[in-house]
Amino acid sequence: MNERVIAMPRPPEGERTRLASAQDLQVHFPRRSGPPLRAVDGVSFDVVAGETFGIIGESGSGKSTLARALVCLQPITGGALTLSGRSPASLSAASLRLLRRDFQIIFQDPRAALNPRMTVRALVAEPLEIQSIGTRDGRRAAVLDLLDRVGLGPEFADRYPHQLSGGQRQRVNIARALAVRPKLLVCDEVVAALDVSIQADMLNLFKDLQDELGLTYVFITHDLAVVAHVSDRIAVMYLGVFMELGSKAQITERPLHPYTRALLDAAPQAVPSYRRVHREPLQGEIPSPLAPPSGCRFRTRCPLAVEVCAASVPAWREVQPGHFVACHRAGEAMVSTDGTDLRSQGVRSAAR
Amino acid sequence: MSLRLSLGRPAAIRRRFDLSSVLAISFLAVVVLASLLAPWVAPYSPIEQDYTQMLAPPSAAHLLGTDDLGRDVFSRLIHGGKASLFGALLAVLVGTLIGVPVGLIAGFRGGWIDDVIGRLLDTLLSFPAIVLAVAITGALGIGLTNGMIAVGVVFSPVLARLARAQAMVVKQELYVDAARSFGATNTRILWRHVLPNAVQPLIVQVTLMLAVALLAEASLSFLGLGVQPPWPSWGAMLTRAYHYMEAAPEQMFAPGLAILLTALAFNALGETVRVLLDPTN
Amino acid sequence: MSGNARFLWRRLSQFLPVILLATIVVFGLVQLIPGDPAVTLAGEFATKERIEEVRRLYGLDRPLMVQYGAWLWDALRGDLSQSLLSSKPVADLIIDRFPATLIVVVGAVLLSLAVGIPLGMAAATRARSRFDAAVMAFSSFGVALPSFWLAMVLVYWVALSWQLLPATGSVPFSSAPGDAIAHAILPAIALAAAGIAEVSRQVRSALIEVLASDYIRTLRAKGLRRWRILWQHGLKNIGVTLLTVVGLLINRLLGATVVIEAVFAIPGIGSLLVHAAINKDFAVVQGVVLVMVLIVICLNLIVDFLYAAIDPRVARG
Ligand SMILES: Nc1ncnc2c1ncn2[C@@H]1O[C@H](COP(=O)(O)OP(=O)(O)OP(=O)(O)O)[C@@H](O)[C@H]1O
Ligand code: SF4
Ligand SMILES: [Mg+2]
Repeated sequence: MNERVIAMPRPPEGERTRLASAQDLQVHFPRRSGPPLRAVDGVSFDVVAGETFGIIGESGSGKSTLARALVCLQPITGGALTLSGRSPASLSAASLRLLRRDFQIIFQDPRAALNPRMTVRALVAEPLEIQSIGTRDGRRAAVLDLLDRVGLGPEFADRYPHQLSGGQRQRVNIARALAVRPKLLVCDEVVAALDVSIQADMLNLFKDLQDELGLTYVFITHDLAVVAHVSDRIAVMYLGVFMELGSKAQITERPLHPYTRALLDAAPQAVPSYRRVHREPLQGEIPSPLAPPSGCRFRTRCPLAVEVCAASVPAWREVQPGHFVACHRAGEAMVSTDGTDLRSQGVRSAAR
Repeated sequence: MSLRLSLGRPAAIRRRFDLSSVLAISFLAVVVLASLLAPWVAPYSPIEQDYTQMLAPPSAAHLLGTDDLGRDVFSRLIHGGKASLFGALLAVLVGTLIGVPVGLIAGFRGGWIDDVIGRLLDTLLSFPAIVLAVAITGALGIGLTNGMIAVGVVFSPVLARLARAQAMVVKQELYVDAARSFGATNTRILWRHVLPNAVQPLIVQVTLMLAVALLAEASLSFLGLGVQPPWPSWGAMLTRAYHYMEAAPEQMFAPGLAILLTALAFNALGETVRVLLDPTN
Repeated sequence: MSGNARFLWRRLSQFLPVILLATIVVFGLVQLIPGDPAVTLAGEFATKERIEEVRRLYGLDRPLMVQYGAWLWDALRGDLSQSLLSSKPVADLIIDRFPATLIVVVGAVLLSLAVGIPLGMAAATRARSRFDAAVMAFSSFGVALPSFWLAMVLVYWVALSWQLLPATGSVPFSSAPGDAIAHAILPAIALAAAGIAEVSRQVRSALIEVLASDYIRTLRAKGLRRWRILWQHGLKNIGVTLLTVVGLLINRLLGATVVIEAVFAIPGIGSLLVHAAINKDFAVVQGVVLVMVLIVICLNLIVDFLYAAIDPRVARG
C-alpha cells in the first residue's frame, strides 16, 4: 500500500524493543478549589513491541486518563513518558505530529469518536490526508482496503456514523487508526460498548490484526475475562495506581494482591485455571479519587487490611522476576493460598 | 380558573407551524424572484419621471399609483425590493465573515485570546446597533453598500458570541481528540471538525438576522444614509411618502407592508430552519 | 457575602477595560474615513487653507496615539471638541438636545414594561391557549415591524386625521410638562412596539418555567390565590430575566430613537447624530456615540449589581 509497510519491520523474535515506557507517570486535574484530582497518580511500566499489555480496573480508576496520556492527548503532570525512546513533551509540534502516527488509540465511546458530519470514507481517509500518506487516488484505494481489513464492505464507505451499528462504528474507528500504520494501539474498553454477541468477533479481529500487522496493544478493560483472554501481561489498576503487574500466568494463577484475588474470585468463569477460594465478594464502592484513602488505597475494601495499611503507602516491589505488587501483606497472602486461617485472621483484623 | 400549564397538543402546533413556513417560503420566493427579474417584471422604469402623473392614485396603468415625481410606485417597489434584499444579504454576509471566524477562534483557543476577544465583543455589543451603524456609514461614506457593511460590522459580535459558545462545546468532543491523535493541526480541526458541528445554530441565527438586517436597511435608507436618489429601496420610498403624507397617505402602505411581511417571512424561515436542524426532531 | 463582594469586584474590574475599549472604538471611527480625513472633513469645495485649518483644529497632523491620548484627555474633562458645522462645543449640543431624547426613551421603556409584563404573565398562565397564541403572534409582529413606519402610521391617523395628539416636534419638560408629555406619547408608542414584543415574550417563557416548578406547585396546593402567586412569587423569580430585558431594551431603544426622532422631528441626540453623520461633522458623531455607549455600559453595570442583590446565586455562579 505504501512505503510505511516496508519501513516498519516486525521486531525479531527474542529482541524486545521498548515502545512505550512510563516512570511514575501522573496526571492530576486541577480543580477550582481544593487539591487536584489525582486521576493517575504514579504508575510505572514498559510496553514492549509485539505484546498485548492488559490493564484492568474498575470504573473511575483512571484507565482512560492513562490511555489518553499514552497517546499524548493528555499532558502529564508528573513523572516521565517515553515513546519510541523520546519524550513527547520535548518534541516540536512537527516531530510530535510524526510521532503520533506510531501511537494510536481506539476510544471507549465509538460513536463520540466519529465526527457525525463525515462519511465513513472521509473519516478513514482523514489520517492519511493529515499525514500526507499516498496520492489522492492511492488514498481512495487505501480506504476501501482498510475497510475490507476490518470486515466492512465498500458499501459502507458513503454512510454516516449514525447509520452504523455499534460494532460497525468500532470497526471504522479501528480502520482509521490502522490507516497510519501505528506501532502501538491503545484499546480503551473497545468491547464494553458492544453487544455481547459481537464482542468475541471483535476480539478475534484484534487478534488477527495483531498477527497480520505485528501490532502492539495496550488493552484496557474492566472485564476480567477479556483481559485474561487477550493479554500477555496484565496490570491491575485501582484509584490511579497499579496494585499488581505481571505475566498473564502470574496474575491469573498466582495473584499476590488482595484486590486481584477479589477480582478473580468475583468472576470464576472468567479464568477457569484460577483456583478459586471462597471469600465474600468485594464490598462497597470504589472511593472517590478526590479523597483517596491514606496509605494503601485499597484498604477501605481490603479483607486483609491492618493498621500499617492506613499509615504507609505499600511500596511497589518486584517480588518475582517481572511480577510487581504493592501490598504490605502480599507475602502473607501468598502463603495463605492454601492456608485459610491466615485469611480469616486478616478479615478479622480489618474489621477492627 | 386554575393555572393551566399543559404543554401538550404538539400536533396542533406543528400544523400551525407548517402553514406559516409554507407561507413564508412562498412569499420569499415571490419577492426574491421579482427582485431578480425586476427589469422584466416591473411595468415601468423605477426612475423615469412623468410630471403629468404626480401623486396619482392607483389605477389600471399604475397599480399602486405614482409618487411625487410621477414615477410608478409598483415598479419602484419591485426595484426597491432588489436593493433591500441585497442590503440585507450583504450585511448578514459581512457579519458572518467577520463574526464567525473570530468567535470560533476565541472559543477554540481559549486563554488570553478568548479573554481579549470576549472583552471586545462585550464592548461592541454595548453600542446601540443603529447608532454605531449610522456612525460607521458616515465615516465610510454614505450609500447602500457602505451602510450595509456598517450594519454587518455591527452584527458581527452577535454571531461571534454564538460561534464562540459553540466552539467551546465542540472542541471538547471526542472526535476532536481523535483528529488530534492523527496529528491534525488546529487549523484543520477548526475547519473540518469544529465549524461543521458548530454551524447549525449559526445558520438559524443568520436566517433570523436577515429580518433585522432588512429593518436596518430600511432605517438607514429612510434616514438618507442608504440608497441614494433616484434609486429606490423600501426604506427610501418611505422617506418620500412621509413628505407627502397629507397629500397621498396611501403611498406609505406598500413599502411599509413589504418590509413588515418580508421581515416576518425571514423570521418564520429562521424558525423553520431551527426546527429542521433540531437534532431532537 | 464574600462571594457577592468578589463578584462585584470582578465586575468592576471588567468595567474599566470595556470603557477604554469603547473609547478606542469611538476614536477609531474617524480612522475609517477613506483617504485624508482633513480633506473629507473640510468638505467638497474647501480651500487649501480651510483643509489645513481643519487639520489643525482636530490635531490630525499628530501621531495616532497622541491624537487618541489628547482626545481621551479632553473627553475626560468634558470637552468633546467642537462641531464643524456650527462651531459650537459638542458637549453643549448634546446637553441641549439630550432631554428630548430622554423623555421619549424613558417613556418607551415604561410603556414596554407596563404593557409587556402583564401581557407576558397573562400569556404564561394560559400557555398554549388561543390567547397565548395571539400574544405570541403580536410579539412576532412587533419584532418585524419597522418602528418608523409605525410612527408614520400613527402620525397620519392619530395626529393628522383625528388630531388627538401633536404630530411633530418636542417641548421642553421644564417649560410645559403636560405639553412635553403629549409630544412624547406617539414617539414612545412607536418605539415601544418592539419593546412590548420583546418583554412579553421573555416574561412569558421565564414565567412558564417558574410556574412549572415544585415551589409554585406547593404554593398552589396551599391554596394561595392565583394572582397573588403570580405577582408575588412569579415576578420575584423572574427578576433576573426582567433585569436582563430592561438592560437590552434600553440599548435597543436608544438605537431605535435615532430613526424615530427623524419621523417626529424631535431635536434629540438621535437626529443630531444623523445630521452630523450625513454632513461629516465627525466631532459630533463621536460625541453622541460616546455618550450613548457610556450610558449603556453604566446601565449594564447597574443591572449586574442588581442581579447580585436580588439573586446571590448569579454572583456566585
Ligand atoms: N478532563 C478531566 N477533568 C477532570 N477530571 C477528569 C477528567 N477526565 C477524567 N477525570 C476524572 O478522573 C478520574 C478517572 O477517570 P477515567 O475516565 O480515567 O476513569 P476510567 O477508569 O476510564 O473509568 P471508566 O471505566 O468509567 O471509563 C475520574 O474520577 C474522572 O472523573
Ligand atoms: S493488605 Fe493492606 S496493603 Fe495490602 S491491599 Fe490490603 S490494605 Fe492494601
Ligand atoms: Mg474509561
